[in-house]
Formats: sequence, structure tokens, C-alpha cells
Amino acid sequence: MRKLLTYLFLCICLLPILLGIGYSISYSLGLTGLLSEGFTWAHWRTFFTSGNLLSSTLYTLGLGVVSLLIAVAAGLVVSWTGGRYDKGLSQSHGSSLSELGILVPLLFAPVTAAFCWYQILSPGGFIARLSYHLGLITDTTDFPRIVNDEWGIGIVICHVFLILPVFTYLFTATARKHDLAALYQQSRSLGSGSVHFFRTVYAPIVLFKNSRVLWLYLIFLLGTYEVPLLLGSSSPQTFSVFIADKLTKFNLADIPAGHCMAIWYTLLITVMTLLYLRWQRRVIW
Amino acid sequence: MITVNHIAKAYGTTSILKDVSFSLTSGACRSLLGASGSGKSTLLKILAGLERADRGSFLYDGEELISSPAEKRSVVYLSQDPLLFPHMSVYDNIGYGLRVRKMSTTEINKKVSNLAEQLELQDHMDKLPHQLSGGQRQRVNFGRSIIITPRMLLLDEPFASLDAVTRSKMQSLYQQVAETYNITSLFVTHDIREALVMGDTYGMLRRGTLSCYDTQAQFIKQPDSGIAEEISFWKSIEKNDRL
Amino acid sequence: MVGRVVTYLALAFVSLPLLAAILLSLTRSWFFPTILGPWTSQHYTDLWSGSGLVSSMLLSLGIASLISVTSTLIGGLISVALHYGKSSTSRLLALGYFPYAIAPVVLGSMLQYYFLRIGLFGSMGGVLLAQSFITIPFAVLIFSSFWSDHTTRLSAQARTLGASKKAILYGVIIPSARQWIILCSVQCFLISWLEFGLTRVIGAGEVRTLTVSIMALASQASIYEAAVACCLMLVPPVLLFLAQHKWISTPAHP
Repeated sequence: MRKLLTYLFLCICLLPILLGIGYSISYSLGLTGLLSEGFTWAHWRTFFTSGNLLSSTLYTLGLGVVSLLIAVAAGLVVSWTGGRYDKGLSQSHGSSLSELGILVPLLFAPVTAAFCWYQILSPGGFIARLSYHLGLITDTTDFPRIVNDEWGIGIVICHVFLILPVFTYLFTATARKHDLAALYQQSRSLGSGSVHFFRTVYAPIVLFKNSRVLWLYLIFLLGTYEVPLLLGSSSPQTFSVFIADKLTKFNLADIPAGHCMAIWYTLLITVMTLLYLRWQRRVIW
Repeated sequence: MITVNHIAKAYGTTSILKDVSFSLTSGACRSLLGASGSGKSTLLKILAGLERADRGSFLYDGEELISSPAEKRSVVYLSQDPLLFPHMSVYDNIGYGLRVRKMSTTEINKKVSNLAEQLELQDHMDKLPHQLSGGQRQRVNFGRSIIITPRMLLLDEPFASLDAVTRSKMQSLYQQVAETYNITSLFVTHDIREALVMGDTYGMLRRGTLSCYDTQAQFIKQPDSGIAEEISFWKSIEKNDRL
Repeated sequence: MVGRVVTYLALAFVSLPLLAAILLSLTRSWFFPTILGPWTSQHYTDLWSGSGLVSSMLLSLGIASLISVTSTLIGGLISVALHYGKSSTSRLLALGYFPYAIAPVVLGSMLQYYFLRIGLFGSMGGVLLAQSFITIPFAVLIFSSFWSDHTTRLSAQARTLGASKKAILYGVIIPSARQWIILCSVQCFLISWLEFGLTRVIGAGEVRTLTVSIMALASQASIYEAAVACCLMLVPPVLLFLAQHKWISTPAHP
């Protein structure tokens, strides 16, 4: 029974991915599919020269990195200020109402968050209407494009909304676990102000101790689907939107490109994971 | 010269310190004893600027420090737990206060190296705190505090978690370093012997007030110092041993 | 002062979408430049007159509940097997992270062919199977933190007192694992409840969960119905967080 369960676990973990990648490789090489004519590099040649590879990669990586950086910065600031370290050790914990309040986004599915942010940020949304009444715009066309734009501003805002509570919670928990409040008092005793302590002690410790989670979230952001689907532009597309678009629509000629992108995306994630594991092994504490 | 006058502190309706006054000459060490909950740590934190007194004054050579923020007082608080920065090496931990004061790298190198030798840490400079023993961590803690030549050092049972042998070594080391750098300090301890060894003068916190004793003889005479019981205990051990 | 301002700004930021969903679900004729249209509860009363959202919600609840129960059970059993097995547990557990390497929608897109071949494409069974690929390894990873030295010593103690393996499992291990069982059930439920991409791809639009409905309504510009669906989406997570907070006390051991 034990062996059976262990094999079941191995199957569940490995089989779907191996089968999926296996099928994608085989399709991309022309070995399978309704229009397949036998082994060919043609699909890969088209994929590398079409421009989709570069544009999707840069777009997805850019959105992921920017979203992560903003969320991390915001998480650091909120966890630091919420900790109220300046009030002394006895009051170094934030109030429970704000701690709970910051967790509201955890209740949201990405599709729900994307829809709501669309209604807030679109040219006909809440902020545009407020701007109209404040006299800042006279028509929806005057409102800057924040959603379905080429820069992905709406996507970044929605991503930050979704991941900020996790980072705030994690950073606060890390600070408590490593007694950074006591370290702060010690450093004040040595002449350090709050900004210096934040820069040289708080941020480095909190970020390092959560580096694995940050890396996982970057990988998660590279694969988000609903948010760029609703808030992104039609071109360029993120990896997930491109892949799902090509593989689930009925244009058979597009399917190989979708599989090529799926393999490319998987390779990228694998390389990133290996790089992270290598970096983690070298760092001591 | 350090002068503390009429420090008081209450938490809600509970009065911790009622009226604490004392003075300390430059370079001297006063040992401070008291029962648990008598307010010893609270007093140290008030002097360090980490807690606010309800009233009272704290003068250093006539300069009022009671309203100064902790980072401006140059009064260093050392707790029982060394509280080293876990991501910084021994070198960086010791030099922390100097970097805050924007000293040049050459100057920092020189000072840190000299002090590290005195504290017998020269072979551990690249290590991280988790790679050090308890005694080594406490030495780094000292080094980090002394290197900025503070006005006063407040030691809150710094050797309590060490074994007897290491504790004895640390006591000797501290006395050497304190003499070299002419450090003024307040040394809180539960250990009577340690209080007698470390202090030039003595104090006992009782129900929120501080009684000061300028000599060992005066201190030993106090019935609640615990010394009489200690002496009688060892005498009885000796007597049983002879029998 | 700065701290309070930052905290309030952060709270305001995270509250905006919640406000937007609630306000839109309770208004009508929301034409530019009106900030808020006239109030109405019509969209909620229309739920019961065949809008399809109630059936979507019930479908989502059903799928999420099934996923929660089966993944917790299977994940728990696998976790026991791994713990008492001969192979290196940490290496096997590392494999549990594999399903998270690839986005669910991408995985689903790559597996469509297989689901078509086995006749599960566009069916609830297919959606359940696909979601299990994510939730079962997740459950195993959650339970892995249960197997501490304390649990092993507790079991050993029970054995020296004469307890059989079955008695240890039902009398010692399962009661000790209560918090993990609750946490795992709640988290697996939420993963399924909030899932969209994988469900849409494998379900092929036939399995119309609440998330799939929201996307469909948003694409059709039925914003009021979509807002109502968003509010309905929030109910189980809120209830579960409150329940989880109540049921799970401090862990019994470090």
C-alpha cells in the first residue's frame, strides 16, 4: 500500500508535466497533430523569426519583475510602518484590524480582481468619472490608458493588489520571528536612526529570509492568465495568454506556435529555478 | 559625571520606579541588584532612551539627556541576548556604530582590528553570528558597544546565559577593557558575587527606589543583599566537609 | 504619523476592488459620467430567476468541496506513506513542487489532447482530475510539516505502551493532525474555488463555474451581473477564513 501511494504521488507530480511537455515537443516538431507531415524544424524556425518569442518574453518578464519589485517595496514599507518600531518594544506589533484588513485581497480570485480593477481604471471606470467631476477630463477619451495599454499598467496594479498582502504578512512575521524590534532598539542604542536601520538591517534580513517565496512569486507572476487576459493588450501577449489563445482556438495553423511557446516558457522557468537553487546553496545564513 | 534625579515610571496604575536618584563618576561601574520585577531593566531602558520616564532628569556633565532620542544619547544598552545583526560578519557587527557615524573605511579598519585583538576575535572576523559560541557573541556585542566610545554602558545581565568558566573569563575581560577605555557603566546582575566583582559602587532597587552604597562593606552589611546568607551557606558546607 | 498614513493608504488600496464590486452589484444605469447610479437590489433578486449564477455557484461549491475532501484524504495518505517509507522523503517532497512550475492554464492547454482521448474533455470529471494535479501535491506539502520529530516520538511512546499501528493512527496521529487537516481542506477548497484558467481550458466552457461565469459576463459587458458574481465569489473565502481562524489554535507542538 505504501509503495502504491508513493508511486501515485510520483505519477501525480511528474506525469502531467511530462505528458504535456512530451506532446508539445512532439507537436512542435511536426510529429503529431491534424496537419502534421512528419518531422520538421519549420515550426521552430517560424517561432524564432516571428517576433512573438521576443515580445512575449520581454513583456512577461517585464511585467513580472516590475510587479514583484513594487509589491516587495510596498510590502517592506507597510510591514515596517505597521510594526510601529518607533513606539518601542512593547508596541512593536501592528493593530489587528490593519493586519486583517491588509489580507482582503486574499479573498479575491485573480479573475475577480481583474474585473474589479478594470471597472476602477478603465476610461469609463470610477477614477475616470471622479476625474470628470473634478474637472480634470471632459470625455472618456481624455483619460489616460491604464488598462488594455501597451505598458501593462493595469496588470501591474492588479498584480500588486493580489500579492501585497502575502508579502506584508510574510515580512511582518519574519520581523517578529527574528526579533527585529529588539535589534532596532539595539541599533538605536548604537546611534542608528530608523532609515539607516531599515536600509542596512530590516530590509536585507526580511528579503533574504523570504527569498524563496519571492522567487516562487516571480514564477507565479510569469504564468498569470486572467489578469493579463482582462487588463492586457492584444499585443504583445504574456506567455499564458499567448499559449491558451493559440491552443484553445480553432485555427489549426496557430497551434504549433502555441506549443513552441509552452516549451520555451517551461524551459525559462526551469532555468530560473536552477539558477535560484544554485544561488541559495552558496549563501550561508 | 552622570547624575540621575528622581526618575519615576508607572505602567497604568502599577508604579515600577518611584524615585530613583544616583550619581556616577566617569570610568566607574555601579553594580545594580534587585528582585525580579523591581524595575532594573526599566531603569536601564529609560537611561538608554528606549523607554520614557514619567518624570526625572538624566544629566551627563550637566547636559540634560532625558528628552534626547536614543540614537543621539551615546548611551549603549546591552541585553542578556547579544542581539547581533545575523546577516553581518563579526567585522561588520563591530564596525556598525562607526559606519553610522560615517567614519572612513581606513579608520574603521584600524579601530576594529585593534579592538578585535583585545577581545581575542581576530581569527573570527569573517564569521557570521550563528557560527560563534555564546561567549564569542557577547564579546562581539561588547566590541560593537565600546568602539563608539559611549558616554555610558548599560549592561543588563550580560553574562547570565554563559557557563561559569566563560562567565569568569568575560568578567575579567570586561574589567580590562573598561579600564582601557575608561567606560562608565551600570551593571545589572542577579549574582551577588558578580555584583561584588564587577562594581566599584553598588545599588539595590527595592519597591521602586534605589539605595546606593559606595563601599563593599556598606553593601555587605545590608540584610537583604543576600550576602550574609551566602557566607553562612558556604561556612556550613565547609563545616560538613570537615566532619 | 507617517506610519498611520502609509497603513491607511495601503488599506484604502486593497479595499478599492471590494468597494467597486459591492457598489456595482447594487446599482443600475451606471453611465458615464455618473459616479454612482441609482441603488437597486434587482440584480440579487434576479439571481433566483434563472440567471445561471446560482447554478454556477453551486457547481463551484460542489467541485471545490469534492476537491477539498479527496485531496486532503489522498494527500494525507500519501504523506503517511512517504513518512514511513524507505525512500528519502525530502527528495520525494521536492517533486511536490513540480506542478507549480507551470501555470495551470498552460498545463491544461498542453494536456487537452489527453483529456480528449480519455473522454474527459469538457466534463466535470475532467475538471476534477485536472485540479487534482495541483491540489494533491499541495496537500502532501502541507502535511509534510506535520511529521516533526515530536509526532514520531509520540507514536513511539504509544507503541511502547502497547498500541497497535491502527490504534496509533486513529488515536494519536489523526487527532494530532487536526489543524493540518483543517488547513489543508480549506486551502484545497480555495485553490479550486478561485481557479479559472485550467477549468476553462479542460472544461471547454461546458463546466460553467463561477469564475468562468465572471469572465463570460465581463466579456459580454454584463457588468452588474459580473459584479454580483464577484460578490458571490467572496462569500466562501470570508466564511472559511473566519472558520479556520476559529478552529485552528496554536499548534500542539513546535
